[in-house]
Amino acid sequence: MAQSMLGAFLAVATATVVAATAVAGVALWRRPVDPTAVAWSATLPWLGGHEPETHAWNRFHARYYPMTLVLLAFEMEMMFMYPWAVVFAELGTKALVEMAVFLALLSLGVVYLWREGGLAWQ
Amino acid sequence: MAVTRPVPGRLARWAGAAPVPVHVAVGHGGDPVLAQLRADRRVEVVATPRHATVLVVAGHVPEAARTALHATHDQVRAPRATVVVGVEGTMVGIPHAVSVPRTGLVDGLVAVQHDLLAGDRDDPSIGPDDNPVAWQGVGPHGQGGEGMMGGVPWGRPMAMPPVEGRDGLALDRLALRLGPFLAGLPPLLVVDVGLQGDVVEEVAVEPVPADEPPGSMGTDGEDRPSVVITELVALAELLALVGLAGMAVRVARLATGPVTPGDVAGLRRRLDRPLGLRTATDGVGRLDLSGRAGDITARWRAWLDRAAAAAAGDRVPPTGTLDLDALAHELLGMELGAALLSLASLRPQLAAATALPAVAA
Repeated sequence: MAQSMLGAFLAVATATVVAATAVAGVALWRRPVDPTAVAWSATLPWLGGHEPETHAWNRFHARYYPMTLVLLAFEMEMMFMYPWAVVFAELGTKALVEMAVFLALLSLGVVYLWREGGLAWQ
Repeated sequence: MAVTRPVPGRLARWAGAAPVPVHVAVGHGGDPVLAQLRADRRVEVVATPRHATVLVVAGHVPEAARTALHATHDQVRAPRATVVVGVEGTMVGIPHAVSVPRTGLVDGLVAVQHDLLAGDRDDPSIGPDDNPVAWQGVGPHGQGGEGMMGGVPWGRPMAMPPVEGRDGLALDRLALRLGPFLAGLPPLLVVDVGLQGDVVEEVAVEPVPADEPPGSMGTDGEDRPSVVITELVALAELLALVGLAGMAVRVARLATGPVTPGDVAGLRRRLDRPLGLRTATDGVGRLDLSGRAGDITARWRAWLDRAAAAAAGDRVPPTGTLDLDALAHELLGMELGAALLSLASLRPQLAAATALPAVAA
């Protein structure tokens, strides 16, 4: 009993020492890698000699967005249809209605995608 | 001059044997220096000052580009050094720069790298160390303002469009001012672009005004670089820009020595191979400028034609200049990468355009 308690104490003490050393190490070694330790002018984005005019925080086009939509609309739909097909005969009309609602919702995504030109062959 | 801790002996020897990472700020007539540095194994020409330890100022930098040069200088990581070729550092407003003659340039760079490793040298910043504009948010840590996108962080407004697009899916228009020392761009060219995503929505191309009549420029009192050097350096820079660094070094080596028409023909065969430069540039950057339409491949082929003719001793007509407004119009709607490649593919013409003295308004 006493031995197992001592073992637990040693484990906790070791973990504490390791953690404290790691924290102290990071604090001591912070300086060489600290971005605030370099001059302000060296922290700017590099554009060829001019400073940026707008802040870097901006919204940009997620190019994969139509692909994601296609995947959700077609692949994920099939993923749910396989288990549905297994229990369809058992549940009957209820299952049919549920799948119809699900497909109706998904088709809204397909319509949106169509309007955005995501289905055009380029 | 701030002096840093020296790198211990053996480490310094290993580090000293590595190529010197150099960022080249190219001014008027700096092309031969650029080719010389790219061609040498002891030097690595890097794309940004952040990757460099030494900034090399090649050619004449006009007064109007000094601020940009100093900003470039300040972005080189410490410990750092600046080397000017054939002139004094005070001539470019960097008094602590090391002046090296062109003939001993690479030896000078290696010596500077040894000094840096020994802790004997570190250039101070030229610009202020503090941001001149404070964060103007309203939060307890200076963050934010109206909603998530409010505030004027560090004096720079958010890249917000004036009106919301349809579905509220507005994309921010990012305004960038590229150049005049951006690697790959023709020297002393400033490109203002407005981007939606990576599509160029608005663009203006303008040279930094020259402050000396053309002809008196160049380093060590040299004349204008020859046709062969101009065209081959343009090709090397284009290759470096598309990522074919090894090929860029090969072309730069060719540019630094005597060139025969056979060399140029061999080079053309290499670039025309599958996965050569052609693969990257075919169909990219189609421009219709003053009746000469073509893509980037057509333009670098024309360089090779000119270089071959010059190497054979034929007279080559001077590179024409460009209508910069027409060029800007052609760049609209391109993706940023294609637009920058297109500008790189017009390097000889644009270099000629930037070398003209400023027109008094």
